[in-house]
Amino acid sequence: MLPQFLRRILRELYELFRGIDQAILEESVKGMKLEHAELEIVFLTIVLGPLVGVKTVPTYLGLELASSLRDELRLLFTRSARGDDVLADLMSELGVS
Amino acid sequence: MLADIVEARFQTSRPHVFMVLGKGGVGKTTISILLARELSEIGETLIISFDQAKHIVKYLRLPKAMDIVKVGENLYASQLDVDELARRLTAKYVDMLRELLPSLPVLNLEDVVDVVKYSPGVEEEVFMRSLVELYGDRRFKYIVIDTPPTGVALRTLLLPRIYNVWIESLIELRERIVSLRYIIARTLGRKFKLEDPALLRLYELKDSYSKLVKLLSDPQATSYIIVANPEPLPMYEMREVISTLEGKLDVKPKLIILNKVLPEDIAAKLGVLEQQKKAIEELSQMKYKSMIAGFMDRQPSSLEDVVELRKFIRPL
Repeated sequence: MLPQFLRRILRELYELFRGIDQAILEESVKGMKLEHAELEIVFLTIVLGPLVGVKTVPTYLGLELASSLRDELRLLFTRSARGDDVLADLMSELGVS
Repeated sequence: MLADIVEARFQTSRPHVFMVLGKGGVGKTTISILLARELSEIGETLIISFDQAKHIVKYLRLPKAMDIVKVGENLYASQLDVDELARRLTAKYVDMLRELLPSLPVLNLEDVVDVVKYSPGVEEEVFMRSLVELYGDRRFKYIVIDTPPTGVALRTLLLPRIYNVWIESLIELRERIVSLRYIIARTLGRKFKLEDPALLRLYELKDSYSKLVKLLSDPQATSYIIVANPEPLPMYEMREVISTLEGKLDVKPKLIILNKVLPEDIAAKLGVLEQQKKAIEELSQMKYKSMIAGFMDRQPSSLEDVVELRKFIRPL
């Protein structure tokens, strides 16, 4: 039976390593998260572009897809309505100061 | 006789569609009605006009556009109203956009609504959707389509292929997005729903347009009849149509009809005899079945007149 202080130390060490492990995982997916965010914006731009003068896909093809992008559109417009600086967020992720 | 020439005895459960193509004013509606009348002697036939000149309404005394009306034994007719269909289509998308983007009026994006309503390509979109419905309409053995002017008709026929080019690129992009979501979720130990509504919709659209491309290119499903007059512009458009059908759709015209061919003495008096002979000669050199339709002594304006035209048609 381990003394209590040793058990506390071991517990703290376990939490420390779990935190490090989590940080490593987060770091490893950082690049993928950025690519994912970029590609989602690209996809939305392609689909809805014709409605605002950015000529991409045929207009009616974009409209057919728009209804299946509810969640992404809601997020995009919530952020723009809140005044979030989407561009600044993107630059920050890219490490541009 | 027309029905015999086009060998209209197909063994399929879906209707066989005859597309009658040609420059505006060459007599597409007249020939369409004549063909439909002959086909109705074999089985239930629908003649539907996509041409916004709406001659068929006058010829067949249709009460109003969009309704399918019985005009003879086994013969039904209808006139597509592009404006009404376009209005319904845009209303559906405008309602959807207002629901998806509730801040539309606040953000001054009402212009978006106008883009939907007045976007180029709305006619072709309406025609393409109507074609999909017609191929699935099992009430009829034959469907004869009096097509709109050549440019719109050809763009409509090519539209499903063009859409599929876009859809394949969008599928590639969307599959990458979904894979990234999956990898990120798995790596971080989070729950992840594999179904992506946008990707599923893309697969559905691809399947639907691929089926339409197949039907348009399948001689068992679709026959193309080209109508021309023995004049330079209609003959030029006839060549353009043949070139598009063969080059882009990989199909050949089933029959070419040279309409409004004048008796030689009258053609000579009008100074168009050489032009007419040249057109007939050109047609006879082509490797397609062709017919000549003589000039009636009056402009046909009813079903009875059109049926009389039978006396003036002969194989070339």
